[in-house]
Amino acid sequence: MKDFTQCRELAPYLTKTPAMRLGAPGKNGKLDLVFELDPDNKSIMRHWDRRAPLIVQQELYFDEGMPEMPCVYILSSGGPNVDGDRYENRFTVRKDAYAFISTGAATKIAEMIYNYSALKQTFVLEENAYLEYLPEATIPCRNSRYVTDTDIHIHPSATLFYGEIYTGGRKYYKDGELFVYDLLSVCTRAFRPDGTPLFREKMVAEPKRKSVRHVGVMHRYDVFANVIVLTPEKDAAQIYERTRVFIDREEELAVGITHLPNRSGLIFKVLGKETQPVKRIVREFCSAVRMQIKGKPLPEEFIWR
Amino acid sequence: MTDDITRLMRLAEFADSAFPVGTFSFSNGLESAAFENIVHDAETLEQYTRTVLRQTLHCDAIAALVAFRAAARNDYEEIKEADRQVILCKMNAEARQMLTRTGKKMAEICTRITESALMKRWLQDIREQQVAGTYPVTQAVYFQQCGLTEKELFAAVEYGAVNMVLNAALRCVKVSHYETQAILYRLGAEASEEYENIRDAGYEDMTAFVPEMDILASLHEKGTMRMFMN
Repeated sequence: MKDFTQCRELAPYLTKTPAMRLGAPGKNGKLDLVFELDPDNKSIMRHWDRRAPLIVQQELYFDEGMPEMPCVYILSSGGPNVDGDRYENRFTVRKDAYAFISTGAATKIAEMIYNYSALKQTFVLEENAYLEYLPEATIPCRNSRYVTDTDIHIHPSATLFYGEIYTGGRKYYKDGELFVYDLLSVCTRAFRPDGTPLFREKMVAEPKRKSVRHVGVMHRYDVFANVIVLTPEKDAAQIYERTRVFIDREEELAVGITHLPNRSGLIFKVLGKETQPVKRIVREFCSAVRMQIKGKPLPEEFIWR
Repeated sequence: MTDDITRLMRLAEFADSAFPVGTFSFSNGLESAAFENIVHDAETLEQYTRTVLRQTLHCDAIAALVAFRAAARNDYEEIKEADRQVILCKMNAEARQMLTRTGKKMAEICTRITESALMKRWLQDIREQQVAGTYPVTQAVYFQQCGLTEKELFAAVEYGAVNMVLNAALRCVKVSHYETQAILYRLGAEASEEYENIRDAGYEDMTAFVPEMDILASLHEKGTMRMFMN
């Protein structure tokens, strides 16, 4: 597990939790999922290792747009991430395999007093691999501190769609909670298999120290989606050309796209007032990416999602 | 040791928006923000300027300080690393273009007006595409070579970012010279504290959280409006 205590932004939140010690069973979730092609060229989840409170079950093939796609939902038996929780995910997609990973519900980051909650992720995509990682939104509640650190190791021929959505908090809880968390720190790095770095994006929001309501930051919006698409340059160019960027004042949505450093792919950002319209835009974009790479669109989202 | 007056003269010269590296032709996304009526008066302009500044300080200024110290101990590999880190952290394509264009221009001017073996080597590596040659790192190397201090470099990085937006605002936002100067004066008063915040920061501390600004830059990148390059 990465030593998060070295992060400057976490310095005020290093008090140990008195109730349940850091690293205690149930506070240290872990997943290791490996997808590969079986002898019949079917993409399957060959290996899955899980530690509570994280749960995954056997892969399902419910995607009507791409029925051959193994789909996995990550669940957490513990409910929200609480003070001192640590999580570690490792997702590997071997040569030519493909997969879809999401979460069963939004990830809520519960109110904290002493410490913080952290997630370390590693993605490994081998030659011509394809992964859609599209979890439900993360909701940082009052006084919460959440830090994530993601490393992506990707072959130049592979494609990763990595989409995260962060809300400002429990907007409709009691009188409404928006941007009353202590810290949200999200770091994503990508590398080629030989270790060549491609980019490093670290977003740190500390709304109580510096307003996120300033023009240029969140301004009038409450929900933010950050989507990274690592894909071969020719595919990135076509997706970029076809993607519309806009600010829609009536719908209260803003959408932008640009090329990542080192010709590694694209970064797509969406701002909105509510989660559902932002999710819709992200899914539409995911569909465009899937169409470019696999020649198939995303199906309609389930009505209960 | 360069004397105080000479140092101040150098600082005034290199931080001046008239120093011909082309910063006047960029707006840091302000053009789109003004067009969308997101920045429309002195108050929204100040907020936007603060956002630009926050991004500059937590990325460019950190790399500049690392590069300055590396230049002082003639650690060329560390200078290259600082330059690489700036590119890795700039998610926006137009921002990378701005930093490499102005960086190269600065290296060209510096090698024309002074003798510095380090700057010559830096320019050569930029031309041979061995390094990106970003503006904050080029600026750091040159400031160190000219005998300027680290704090003076920090002031120039901050002043450059703020002044770029405010100068552009005079051309595309309904604000007066008085209002832009007042913003500059207020932000200047906070610079010392900002320096203390980042002086010990390293590459891992380089951050940015400016989603609306990123989207505005993207609108500019994909659009046809071109008073400014960004």
